[in-house]
Amino acid sequence: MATLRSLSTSFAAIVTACMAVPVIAHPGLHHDIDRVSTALAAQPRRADLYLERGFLHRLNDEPAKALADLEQAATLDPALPNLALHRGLTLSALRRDPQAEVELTKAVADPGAPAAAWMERGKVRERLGRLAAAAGDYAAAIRLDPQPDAYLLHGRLLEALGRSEDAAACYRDGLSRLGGAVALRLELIGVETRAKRYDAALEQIDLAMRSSGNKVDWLLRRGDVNAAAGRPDVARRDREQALADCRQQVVRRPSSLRLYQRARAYHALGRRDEAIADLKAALRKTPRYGEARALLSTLESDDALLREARHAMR
Amino acid sequence: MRCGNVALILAAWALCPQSASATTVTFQQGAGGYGGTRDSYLSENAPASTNGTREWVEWDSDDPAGTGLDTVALIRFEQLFGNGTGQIPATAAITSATLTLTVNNAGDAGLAYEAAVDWDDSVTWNTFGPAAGVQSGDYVNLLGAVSGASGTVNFDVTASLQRWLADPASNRGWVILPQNNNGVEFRSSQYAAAPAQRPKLTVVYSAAAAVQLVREPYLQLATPLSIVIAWRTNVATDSRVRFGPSPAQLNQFVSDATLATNHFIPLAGLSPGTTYYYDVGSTTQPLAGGTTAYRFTTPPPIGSVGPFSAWIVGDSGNGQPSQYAVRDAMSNHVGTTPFDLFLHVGDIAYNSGTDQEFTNYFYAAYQDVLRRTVCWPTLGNHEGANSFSSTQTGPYFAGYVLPNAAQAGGLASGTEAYYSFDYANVHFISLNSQDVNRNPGSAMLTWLAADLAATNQQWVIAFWHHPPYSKGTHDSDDPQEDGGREVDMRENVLPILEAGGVDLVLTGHSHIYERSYLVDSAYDTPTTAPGHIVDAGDGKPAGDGPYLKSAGLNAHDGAVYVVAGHGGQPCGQSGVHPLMYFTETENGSCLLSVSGNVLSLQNVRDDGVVSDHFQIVKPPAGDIDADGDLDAADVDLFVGVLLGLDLDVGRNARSDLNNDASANGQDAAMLVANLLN
Repeated sequence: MATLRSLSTSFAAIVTACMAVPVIAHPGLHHDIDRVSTALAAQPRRADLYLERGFLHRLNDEPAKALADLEQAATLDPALPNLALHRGLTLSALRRDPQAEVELTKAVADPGAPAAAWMERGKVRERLGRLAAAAGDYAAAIRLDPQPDAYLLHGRLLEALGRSEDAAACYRDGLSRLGGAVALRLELIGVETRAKRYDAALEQIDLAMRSSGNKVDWLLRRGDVNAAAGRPDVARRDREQALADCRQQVVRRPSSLRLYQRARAYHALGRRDEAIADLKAALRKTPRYGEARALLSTLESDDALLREARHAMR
Repeated sequence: MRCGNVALILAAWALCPQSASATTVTFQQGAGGYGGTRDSYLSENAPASTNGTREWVEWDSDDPAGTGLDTVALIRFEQLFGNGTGQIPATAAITSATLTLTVNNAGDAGLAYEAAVDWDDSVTWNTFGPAAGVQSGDYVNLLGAVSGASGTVNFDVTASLQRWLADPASNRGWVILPQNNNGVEFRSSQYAAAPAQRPKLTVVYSAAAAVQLVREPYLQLATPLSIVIAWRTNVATDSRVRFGPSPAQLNQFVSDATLATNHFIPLAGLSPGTTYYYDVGSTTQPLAGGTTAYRFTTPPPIGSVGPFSAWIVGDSGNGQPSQYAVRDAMSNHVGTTPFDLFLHVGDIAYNSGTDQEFTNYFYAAYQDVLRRTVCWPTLGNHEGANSFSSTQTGPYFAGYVLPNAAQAGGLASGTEAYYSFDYANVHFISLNSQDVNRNPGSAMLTWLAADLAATNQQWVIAFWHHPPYSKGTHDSDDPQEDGGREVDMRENVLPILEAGGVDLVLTGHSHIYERSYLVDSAYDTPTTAPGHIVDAGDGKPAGDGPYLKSAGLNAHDGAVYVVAGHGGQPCGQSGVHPLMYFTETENGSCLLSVSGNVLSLQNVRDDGVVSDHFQIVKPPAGDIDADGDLDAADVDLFVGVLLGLDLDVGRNARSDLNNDASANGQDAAMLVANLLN
């Protein structure tokens, strides 16, 4: 009995804290599953043990077995705490989304429902195409537990729904609460740019540049935003500043990464020949540099097309 | 980091250690000569009326019925603390406190808060607080719902008493706000017919225990100008760190008056590359330190060429002799030149990363190291049983202080679950293979790409738990293994790292030591070697020679992958991985050394044998003979290339310093500049 109690105690601790953790195929879980199975053999009508074993099966990336155990738990005790939550998570893992939504809806009705329950229902609803409802779920998850991936899911969905200002507000909230997480800042820059709120995008780039040792990428982004904003002269200045930074870096440390960056700066300024030269130099250093090879291929294809067009015009 | 604060005042270390026997005291008007109860109610219906002498107190949201007007209850117990008979001494540790009411007219529960404004028996609706009525600023600290059931009602007020013990002046009693229109009446301190039914406060406390260290001091989050010193005590105290240039000259201090058992004290305004000695304790007594063993050396300026070294350990925290043998072997190996950093690649505390397991198998096991060296960890699956990145809770996150906003270099990740930091000329990246989204477009991968693009460091070293390449106790080619974590890291993360110029990847999880050749772009499943081994040599200076990479960070220039999951758990092997140069199933750990453009790693077994060693060298620009330095020999060779007398492809390429496809006078100018530098 002490063993069963300790099982239940440790299980309760895990259940309340480890709700929608991505499933883990951990060899050690087999040991825990075996222990619970032994306990069930002695007490086959213990619904809580079926719930526990179902949870362990899901952690072990065996959702079908997990669901079987949870169904048994439900048969024995339909009012078992957390049953709806675990059924919802398991059904979601099985991509049985309509049923998952029903169970997760029961789960979030509990005032103590964890953020993971809301998050999972949001993902289920998104897969079902119920986007507005999914957005509400992500917002609820963030209120309980703000974390970068939650903000990304929520912000991207809001933008997909045409609510770009809300998406921007979402990312701004995340930036203020998560210490300026760069993943959120990049998404915010994207949203503001696509919504033609160029000055807002530039503000974010300038904030990011302040804390960045290597500013070239940010300067190139700045150039792109200014170009999109119809400010070609400002865009040119940004790109020329990026080029100047690159030149200094190439002199100090002529690595293939710096050469590639300089090639991008040249390309942004329309200086195709110099970009091609840098890309070739980068590839001489590191022949496997796929990104450099891809850009070189693009530039050389453009060149070929241009030559063909000129030839045809003669 | 998550700190816990407990409102206890403690001075017991000044006294003899006492037993923890409990004392119960009660406070009830008229009982034992006590006369300190104050109670009344505020009536919105009669805003100028005082009710402090009535025999009942009430709360109601509709009084009189049908009006929707509020009645709010107030109650306070005075003269609780002191050294008088029946009082609670200032040195007490309050374990419980219960408010007992006798409800004579049952109704709906009310919500109890601590009053934030002063009041006495003459208080009215108009005079409570700066504005009439009960405003949101008039109360703080919700305690919970007080039952309105008929008869005796007990309500837990422990948190209030603990706060008031720490600050007796803040004792303004409680405000009970109505929730519904079925009001409640309870006997007041003036109730004459049955004094036993008057409100009663029961407090249980024990004499304070002596302060002891539960976790010795350990260092966290070091930068050239700052550091955090942490420790844990058995009872709550305030915190102080004293520090200075020698154990006898701890002439600076930082303190925090907040009472806590987990102490985290940041020190700022330090000098780079400087050794400081310290002690830790409360504001009135040190608990540890003041010797040469308690010291830290701040990192050198970012970008400096070192040298420095780092201890790499994985899968160690089992408390078995093997763990300590690994530890001691490294200690003996480094001798009087201790390492500067400590990286742990996960599975820090078996079996489930509980708080006690961390205390025993990490903080205690490595206390001699941790008091002078910062540990930078990554989350393993075992501590992942009780620590969770989505909420950043659990013993892992509670104990470590990790950057989430680029506090130590790199870009802000927004979470302590993954982070980066700079040390000398190396950019270190700690990733999370355990419980965050590892898919393209996820927050971690987006941050990683931006973080790599933003660094100007000479080296990039990444570490996490689940190995992308291994045939130890885990097979990285099995998509079902560990929920596909190894495959995810290989397919999704390695392309970003290798495009960003990563030089060395350290992982654990597989209980084995494996070390690869210099490899690149091996993302397929199962992993194949052809076309992915950049240098098939042994990487040993005395063997085939170091692995050579170009100066700076170069995309897809090759990286070495090390599985260091042999820190204490029994080792095993399921095969031979095609990318691995060396494999060994013996416990041990690794010593990383970086000096300028040379990176070395040694595998030190638990018997002290150095069974593997490799180097990566990034010759400086102008190192024509590729021997790792820039000297007269390079000048001679350069002249030969310039005059067209040397047709060696490699030397010609290395003579093209500005990468314009030819060696000429411009390259000569750069060579001279580099020589002078």
